[in-house]
Amino acid sequence: MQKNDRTHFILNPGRLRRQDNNIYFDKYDDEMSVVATKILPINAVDEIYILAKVDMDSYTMAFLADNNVLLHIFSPYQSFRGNFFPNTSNSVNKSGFVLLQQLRSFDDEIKRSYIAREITRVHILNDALNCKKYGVKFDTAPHISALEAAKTIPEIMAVEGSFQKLYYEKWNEIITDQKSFKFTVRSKRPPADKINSFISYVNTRIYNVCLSEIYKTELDPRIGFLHEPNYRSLSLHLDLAEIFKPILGDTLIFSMLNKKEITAKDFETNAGRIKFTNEAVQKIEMKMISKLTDQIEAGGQKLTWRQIIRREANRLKKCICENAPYEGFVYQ
Amino acid sequence: MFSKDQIAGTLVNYYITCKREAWLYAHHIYPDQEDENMALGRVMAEIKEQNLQDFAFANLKFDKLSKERGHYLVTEYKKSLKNPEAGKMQLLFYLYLLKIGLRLKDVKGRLISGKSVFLVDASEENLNMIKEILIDIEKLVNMPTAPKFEYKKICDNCAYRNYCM
Repeated sequence: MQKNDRTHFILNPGRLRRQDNNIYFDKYDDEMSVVATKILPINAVDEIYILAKVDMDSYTMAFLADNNVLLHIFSPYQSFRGNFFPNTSNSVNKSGFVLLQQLRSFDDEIKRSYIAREITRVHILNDALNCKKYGVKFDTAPHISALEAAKTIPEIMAVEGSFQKLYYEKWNEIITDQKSFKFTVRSKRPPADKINSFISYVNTRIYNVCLSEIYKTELDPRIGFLHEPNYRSLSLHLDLAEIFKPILGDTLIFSMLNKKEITAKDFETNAGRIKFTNEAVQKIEMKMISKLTDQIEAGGQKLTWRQIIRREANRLKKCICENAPYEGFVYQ
Repeated sequence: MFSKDQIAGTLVNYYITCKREAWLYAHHIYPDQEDENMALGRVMAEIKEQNLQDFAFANLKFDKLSKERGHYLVTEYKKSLKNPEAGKMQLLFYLYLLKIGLRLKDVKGRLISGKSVFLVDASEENLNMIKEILIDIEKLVNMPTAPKFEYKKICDNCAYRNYCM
């Protein structure tokens, strides 16, 4: 049973290299000379997040590939650039059958909207439960009934959009620090204010966790059901994240802001763009990792949140492959 | 279309254990790789013993083959022998392919789990049995959908439990 969240973050510039069947990280200073070396035990690392400029060679990458270590690469503004996913004899995500079934389910309009509707329904329920936990009244009934009436994907998206707008308005009742973290409007690329910047960072993290769990199943992350796959490279992890964003991300934002663990000082502005300082990233990640390693009871088993996400992906896979009824995860 | 020469030893083992598992495995829907038993199995495959060597023939990937006095010995390691029948059939499948493919005259099989050892003989009767099983496997795998899920006791410890249940 995997209990630890085996994720490693690289926040400083340096060099990642292989030596003797292990991975070493040499930290650079400003003049590109090595100031410290750290060993990353290969068997104890599942994912490496790179948030700084890192040198790497193909020998190291082949070694990471052999050991099924996933690399996520980010830009200096903490937006997602891409990932290096190993494709070796060890990797399991190579099933033509599942890919075909996924494409067929996507083309089947009834099945696609069935899956999309279920994902949105669970998303709305999880959001409403969040509000309830913080003592804020929120009526979901009109949204749920509108969702049931929605036939096509754009209609479902419209229901989701109008719901999301109302939900974000409720945030002003939940978050106590209204001076620096007042929510006015959701803005992305780049986020305009601190709260939007926080939401974007946490959501990106959850997208990546979902993406790595999808990679561990045979599903293809390129074909999503709720999100239109035409205009982006990956979309299935966005669907899966809809279910877990309220449970993992939003609660983390609320508790960190209300406990004053993140304040206005944790942001730095550079040419009009807002980003977290490295210390703030560390604080958030500690919280995020402890959240992801929490074990909860689901289906008669004790599972970590990561395993729950994978279980959800597996359920989706079962629905895709065998037309089994799909019921999303609602966290009570 | 799935043909008989795509069958591997693991598939035979799964077929005896659970038909649904075999169907899923043949369609490359793999069990949870982080499952404890899966990880243990992977480590078991790395165990080395003297006089044994890795051997690759067709899609056979049995643990070890060794040359004894007068006969060849195929060895298979298992973590536990809760289901010895499945292990025996897997070995028998190896013996069958070796007899047909390489025309080895005298081959024997050995199943090891901890201190218990089973010997499997490539007798005429056994070979006929495995032949029939292979035909059944081909039929099963070519079905368009997987056999329906039914809860059994072994499901609790199966690495597919998050998929099936």
